[in-house]
Amino acid sequence: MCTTCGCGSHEMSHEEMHRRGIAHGHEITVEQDILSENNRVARQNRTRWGAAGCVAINMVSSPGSGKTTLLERTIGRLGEMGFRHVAVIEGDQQTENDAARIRRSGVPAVQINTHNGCHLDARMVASAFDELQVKDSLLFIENVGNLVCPAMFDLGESLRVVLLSVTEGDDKPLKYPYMFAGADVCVINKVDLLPYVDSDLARLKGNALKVNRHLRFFETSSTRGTGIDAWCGYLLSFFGGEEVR
Amino acid sequence: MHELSLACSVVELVEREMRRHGCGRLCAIEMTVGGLSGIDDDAFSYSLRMVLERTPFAGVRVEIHRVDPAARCDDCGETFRPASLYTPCPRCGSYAARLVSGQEFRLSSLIVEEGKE
Repeated sequence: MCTTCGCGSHEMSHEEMHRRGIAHGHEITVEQDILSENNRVARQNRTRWGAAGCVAINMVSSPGSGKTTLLERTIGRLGEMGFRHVAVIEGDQQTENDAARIRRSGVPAVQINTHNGCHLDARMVASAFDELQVKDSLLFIENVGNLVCPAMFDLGESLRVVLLSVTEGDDKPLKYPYMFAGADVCVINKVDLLPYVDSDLARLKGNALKVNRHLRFFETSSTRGTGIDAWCGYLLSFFGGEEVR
Repeated sequence: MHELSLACSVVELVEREMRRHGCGRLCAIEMTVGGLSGIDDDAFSYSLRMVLERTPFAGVRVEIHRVDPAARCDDCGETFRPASLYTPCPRCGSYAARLVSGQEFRLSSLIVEEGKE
């Protein structure tokens, strides 16, 4: 115990103090995970959203993979299938553009601007959810376009979806493995461009499976509508609890 | 550059711990960082020093203890040191390995000198 104030820290031996270059010292043992506060809020989100009947899906990708366009297409198709309980939290460094696009699809959307931040965290989406005031909904969270930083931050989602377009290179899962390691689903988007790019879907999937052998794949083209039915069918099953991650 | 926001979280934790213990002058912050934690050492150290500059703890020593990653193959049980998140098992070639260490990112301890505020 510390002799100065009686706190629960460890007195250091003379040799230890000498090694650290101090005269009289002690060591306060903390051993706390730096992400523990974010993880605590994420758990709180998961509980709150579950109680409100909401299922959250965290969409991550590099900028330009087509997250917003896929969401617009998904909202449209789900509506045609008779499911309109959708809400969206949009994350971007700046502008309201994406939330405005989503609202034009007829569903509520809240924009988070991270300014200098490179990812969403659990606290940001907790506030955005309060603003949305929705229940019994499929809640899409479109993360900041970035294949590195968002990987570390649990938001309280039930499903993490990494989106990858065929123009990005088949080795992307190996270049950015943390994002693929933490995802449940991989949507391969812009498959209508396959005839024009040097991409091999089997090779791309093989690379992703080296990082995470539990990944489930969907192949989509948001502009042509390819694969959207299968993707929306899966989302409805997941929302209904018939699919687990 | 998620290291900057993580550095802010570290400083919040340090401030909380120092308030809780309420004595002495902070000399060093000791961190434990796994080799496959996704944290860039240089970016994190730089960010932490930058954030500390705006606190009463400017200039304290930051020590980062690296933890070597270790993985265990789900197929054959081999334990090995993976170079990445997709290093195959050196014995059977399977990618079905799980990390048993190397993802740590902790504030381990604070070194405080007594008798100085």
